[in-house]
Amino acid sequence: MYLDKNTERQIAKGLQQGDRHAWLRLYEAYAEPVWKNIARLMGGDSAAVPDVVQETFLAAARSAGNFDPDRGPLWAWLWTIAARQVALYYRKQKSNPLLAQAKNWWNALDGEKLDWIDAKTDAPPDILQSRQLATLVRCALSEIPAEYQTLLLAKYVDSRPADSIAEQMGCSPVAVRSKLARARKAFRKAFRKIIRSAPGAQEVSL
Amino acid sequence: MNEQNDKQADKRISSFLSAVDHGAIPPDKQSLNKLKEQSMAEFLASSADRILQSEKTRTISLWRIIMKSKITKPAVAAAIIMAVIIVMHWFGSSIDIAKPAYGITDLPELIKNAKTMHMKGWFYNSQAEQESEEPVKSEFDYWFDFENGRYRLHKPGGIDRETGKPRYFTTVSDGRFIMSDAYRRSRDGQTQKLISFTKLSPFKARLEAYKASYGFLMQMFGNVGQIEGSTKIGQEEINGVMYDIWQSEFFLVNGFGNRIRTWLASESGDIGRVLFWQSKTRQKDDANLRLVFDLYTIELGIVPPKRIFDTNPPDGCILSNTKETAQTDTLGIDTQKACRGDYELHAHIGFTLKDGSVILGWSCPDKERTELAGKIETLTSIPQKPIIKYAGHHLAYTQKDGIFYEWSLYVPDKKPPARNSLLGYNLNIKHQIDESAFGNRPGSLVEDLVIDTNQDFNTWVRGAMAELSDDGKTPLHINYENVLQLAGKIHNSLNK
Repeated sequence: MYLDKNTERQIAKGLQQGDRHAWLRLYEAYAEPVWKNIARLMGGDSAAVPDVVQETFLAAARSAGNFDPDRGPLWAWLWTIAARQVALYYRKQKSNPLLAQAKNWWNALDGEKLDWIDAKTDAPPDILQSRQLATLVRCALSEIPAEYQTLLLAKYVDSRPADSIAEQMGCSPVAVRSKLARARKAFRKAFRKIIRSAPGAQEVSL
Repeated sequence: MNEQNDKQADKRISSFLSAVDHGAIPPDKQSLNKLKEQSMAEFLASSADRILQSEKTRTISLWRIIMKSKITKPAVAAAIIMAVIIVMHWFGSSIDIAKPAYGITDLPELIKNAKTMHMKGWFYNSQAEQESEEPVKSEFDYWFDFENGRYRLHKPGGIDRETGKPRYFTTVSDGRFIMSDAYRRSRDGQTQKLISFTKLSPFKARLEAYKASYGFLMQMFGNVGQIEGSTKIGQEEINGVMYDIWQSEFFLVNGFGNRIRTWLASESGDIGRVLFWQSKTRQKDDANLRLVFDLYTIELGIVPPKRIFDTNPPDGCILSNTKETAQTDTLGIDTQKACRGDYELHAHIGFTLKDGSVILGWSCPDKERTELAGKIETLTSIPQKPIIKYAGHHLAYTQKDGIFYEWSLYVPDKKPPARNSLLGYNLNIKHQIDESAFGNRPGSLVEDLVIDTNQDFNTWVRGAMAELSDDGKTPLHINYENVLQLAGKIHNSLNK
């Protein structure tokens, strides 16, 4: 559940005053969505998900008193913190064997792979359901700005309509569509960069 | 044509990106509940820190004030002596020498009837294990005094990123106040321990103690069905006591496979040890189990050590508030904080009865309207296959501080499985106004209490109704037998 502007302003005021109820309302509204998106970016088998969720909310709790609703909605503020924690987690991993394995898997695949990324043709179902693709998509998502992550997950994974996303993001539906176009482009770029870095990868044009 | 192409492209992108849901673990309620307390403490501490920058506060120790006074000191001493006599009387009378032989299926009842409990053991960290290292184990120690709503939970909470060692958190309830600790990094890089207090009503304190213990034991012994399949795999003598070793394997509704091994003394009903394993993945054929915890002490009906439930803050910590300034954690709506101008819908507490029907206490505070702006009309089970629908019926209402609390009975259209074979219930709300006008709407019920006996019903259902009523009384017609009969009648009429 996402909060309307009026409720967000009340919560922001409460957070500035150190009101525990304001924190509880924020937590109850967003704890599960934050967990869900972090789990999506980090992978389901990772035992680190609870740790990153913990670090996110502890960091948010420390800076909640300074949250300013005029600078953006609560979700955007909270997800920026979460995305930073996810990025930190990936940076701390010196090597990611799953990612290396996924890159090799991608390179060994036959088919119009670039068209799959560009959504020009359908990827085969077994590819879409593979854990290697999940690893590559996660990695690409973690490379793009937090706002784009939110947009792509909300629109294409949660299947939410543009006006609902607009309300959550504090902008108009037209702006959402325009940002989505940029988010898709950023994702494609990040994905291509990842697969291009694989040993023996074929050169792809951007 | 372009629109069709866009839709096609959207569908492809959606299929591609949805790969991230492959194996993504759903939110873990227990972790999130624990984090709620930790983050709240951190938030309160940070808020206090901002205020403390300009003003140094002086800690007021209620205990010190009492013990300095010539009048209150002897009174407190007398009260302590009385309390000790009462405790000894209770626990002394509960010792029954002529006990029958105990089997594994007696365990849920033994645990449920205990007035006090002590559990100690090791949690095993799964992250280290995944990296092919020795699993990091960290000790936990829990004490409960259920009747007085007192408990002490000392447990690990994640790994300190700097030191790589487990972080420990302690939560103590003395029946009136909860004292929680949290860690904070100061500006000069030092880790500081922060203490915060929350005030509780006696009912809320008992409820919290019950939930804290039952939530932990539920996954092991909450469902008689899952331990009925246990087999006795041997015997072992520990400290001169002979224990039967029981083992059961089962799948929980969350998809993980589990194995429990329990050491139970057939003569005394004492539990010597419990080992709990869980599969690494949700695949049913995953035989790769990892040890989650080793509970090497479970003591039922034990007299807790003196001062184990003390809520005096330890030396050297920073207080984010005091008992005098603590906020009250209420079962209902805090009328000081309720947003009366908004439309709000709250689910306060839920209970699952032994026939599978559900009682829910909820409210929709809105003083401007005579008609409810929204109501929780029906429930549906989670997971939804096979779908079980619960039709809602008015049971009673109570009133406290000007707010009406509705108590509804939800009756299933078919026989549901045991409670811990369900994750919870979706709350289906009927809105009388545009739903976007609601500032708060509950989505699901997952932390309900299982009510198996008349005693459970009186303690928790009637207790909650009394708690949310100005006169502290429960509607007379609400008793276990009446409610079960009513649920049966409704169930029959649904089937017709």
